[in-house]
Amino acid sequence: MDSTLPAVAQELLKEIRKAFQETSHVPDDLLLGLKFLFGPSAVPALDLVDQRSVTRVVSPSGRTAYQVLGSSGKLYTCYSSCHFCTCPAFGFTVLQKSESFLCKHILAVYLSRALGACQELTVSEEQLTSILLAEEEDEG
Amino acid sequence: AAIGCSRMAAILEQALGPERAEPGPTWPLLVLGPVGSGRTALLLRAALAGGGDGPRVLYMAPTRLELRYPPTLAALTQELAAMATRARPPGLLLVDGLEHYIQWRPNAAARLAAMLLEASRASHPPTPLIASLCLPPVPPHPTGHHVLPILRRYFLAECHLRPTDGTHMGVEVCLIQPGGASRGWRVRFGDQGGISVMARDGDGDGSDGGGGGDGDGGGSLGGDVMLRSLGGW
Repeated sequence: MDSTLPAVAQELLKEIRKAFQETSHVPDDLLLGLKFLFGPSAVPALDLVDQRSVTRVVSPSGRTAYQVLGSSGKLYTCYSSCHFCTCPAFGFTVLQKSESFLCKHILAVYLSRALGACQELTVSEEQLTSILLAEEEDEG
Repeated sequence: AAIGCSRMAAILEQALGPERAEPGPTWPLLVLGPVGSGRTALLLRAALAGGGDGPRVLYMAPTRLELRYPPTLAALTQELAAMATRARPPGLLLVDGLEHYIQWRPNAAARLAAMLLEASRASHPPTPLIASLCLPPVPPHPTGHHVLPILRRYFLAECHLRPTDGTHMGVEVCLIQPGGASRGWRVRFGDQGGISVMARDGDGDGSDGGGGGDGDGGGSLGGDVMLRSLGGW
């Protein structure tokens, strides 16, 4: 999924990962960079990371998906190899309006991976398939 | 029961054309030929004879082609899930007729594209993926124009087919890839069952045989020109 991010965003995430590994802290200038690049998604995504809302779900064959517990209490599915989220904002703001290239849940997945903050869950192949097939939430 | 085996010879004649005006008796047919003589290609051509309205074909073979006919998006996603868990993933994934599965719904388009990419990238190295979409939508659809921009987020290369006028069925093929020059070919489906491929707009290596080539010549038609000529699609 990294290849779908602009190079500047990939660089920023790399820096965040490095800084966090060395100091267990993300410096303010990198947080400002996040805000600059991802606008209104940045702060809510960081909140989701703080609350450890991102779960990496893996099946025995190695297939992976992410589940993100949204602030509303709803569980959204994010794909692991390309940008897709079942939340209404992804369908509307990203796909239809092209106002943003990801939603806060996908950004939270990126950040949780960079900060090593993903919860881990192993499921059967059937369970993973049903997670990948989770229905989208309608707008509104 | 769409194809009784006694109709097999007629089917093959239909595939090779022109059909006999007065079809005589037809018999179960055995296709014989040495390695590389095109037996499989001939069977596939028989399978596709009659176009979209042709009979539904059951193709059985020990290797190479594995055909699946998921009738719905849910059935297709089950097939993709099964593919990802195979010990030996396929070497090429082809999905024909995306429009049937997405019904021109933008969100369904994104979901299916993402699912296809997931399935393709579940193996290492990833399984190459080629999908086809009918454009413009037939019949026209109110949300049809949202679908292509969404699919382009996931499919980074495109191949445009544009039928050309003429007595033979000809198609201009333009392949557009990110970061690379676009390439063009002219494909002609002859009425004797042959397919000829020519590089379009000159070619780089000068070795194209003109008609019988295998499409290795490089075309130079700009992708933008092709896209504009498709009327905004």
